[in-house]
Amino acid sequence: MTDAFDWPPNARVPSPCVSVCRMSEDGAFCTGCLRSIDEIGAWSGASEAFKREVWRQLAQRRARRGPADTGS
Amino acid sequence: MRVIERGWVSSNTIAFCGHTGTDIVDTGYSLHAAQTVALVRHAIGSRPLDRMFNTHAHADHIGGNAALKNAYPAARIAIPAGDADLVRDWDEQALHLAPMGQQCDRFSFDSTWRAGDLLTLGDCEWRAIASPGHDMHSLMLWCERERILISADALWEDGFGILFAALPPASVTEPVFAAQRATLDAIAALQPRIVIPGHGAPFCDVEGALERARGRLDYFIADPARIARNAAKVTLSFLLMIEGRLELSSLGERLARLSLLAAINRSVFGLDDAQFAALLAAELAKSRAATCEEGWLLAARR
Repeated sequence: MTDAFDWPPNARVPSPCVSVCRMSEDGAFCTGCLRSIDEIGAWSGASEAFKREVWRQLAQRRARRGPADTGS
Repeated sequence: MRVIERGWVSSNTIAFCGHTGTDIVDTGYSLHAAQTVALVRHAIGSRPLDRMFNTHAHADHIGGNAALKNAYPAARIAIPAGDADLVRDWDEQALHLAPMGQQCDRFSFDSTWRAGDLLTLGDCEWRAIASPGHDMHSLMLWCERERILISADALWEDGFGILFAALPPASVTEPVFAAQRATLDAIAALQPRIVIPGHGAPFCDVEGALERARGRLDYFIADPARIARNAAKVTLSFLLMIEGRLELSSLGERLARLSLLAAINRSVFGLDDAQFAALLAAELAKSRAATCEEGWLLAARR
């Protein structure tokens, strides 16, 4: 498990995508990476600060919702 | 231009909103198609989608075509001219579906595009460029004005896609290696400022990527069996990402039913099915792409 804040300040923030890529029933979050459509759609063009903030929120969402879907 | 970037199963999708039309390039894997439609809608807003272009006819690049056509019935689909017959006939062998255990929603295309074509995407002119190697019919898109290359799987930041035509049962590998080398040379000659690959984030260090890709190619050329070994690992890794977990006790039988893996095993490994599966599973675990737990091979999660 990589935590949200592990990367050195100048490192490129990796994508949270785990190739599950299926939204929850209410469409709020991807069942794999727990990002919203807004967050996935904005990712490629977003600032590193935005990406770090997304990772920070993912850690909170994961804690609230339990482990991510394994896709099986 | 918006790049919709996901992981190594679904390709990137690139969306263009221009004055003359709204177009996308590549559509991801079918299993992810519902999310792809939502992401395209997010990228293009209330505009109708006019055209979809596929860089090549692999399941991870064309898999969203059918769902997007359903969501945008007026959208027209264009595929590379070299892929027309196999998509029209839905040749599951040539499309690498059955041999790799991949699924893809069938679609009909409206037109073909080919090297030399000039496309207006997002108010810029893009030229189609042949890029044989990973796929012999694959096309890239080059915007001279912005010096941006959409490279598909011909060049990634670290490597390039499997050179399918060099895999068993094919026995002649040199022309495929030569084609991939020529494609890398053609990319170098363009001197792109930015490359948007088929998978992973867009990147600017094109020289570094080309150096890594050439190193990889040389590594394969030095011992062509390496390309088959690598392809076997990638195939299992892809299957694992799709399914999330695979039962180890039946993995040998499962992999033996995939003709690409069976051919690789026959020509390179010569193991029985269970041994072959155990070897590949161990390789994936070693490279941290998977873990083995209680009889299951699990996809690595962050």
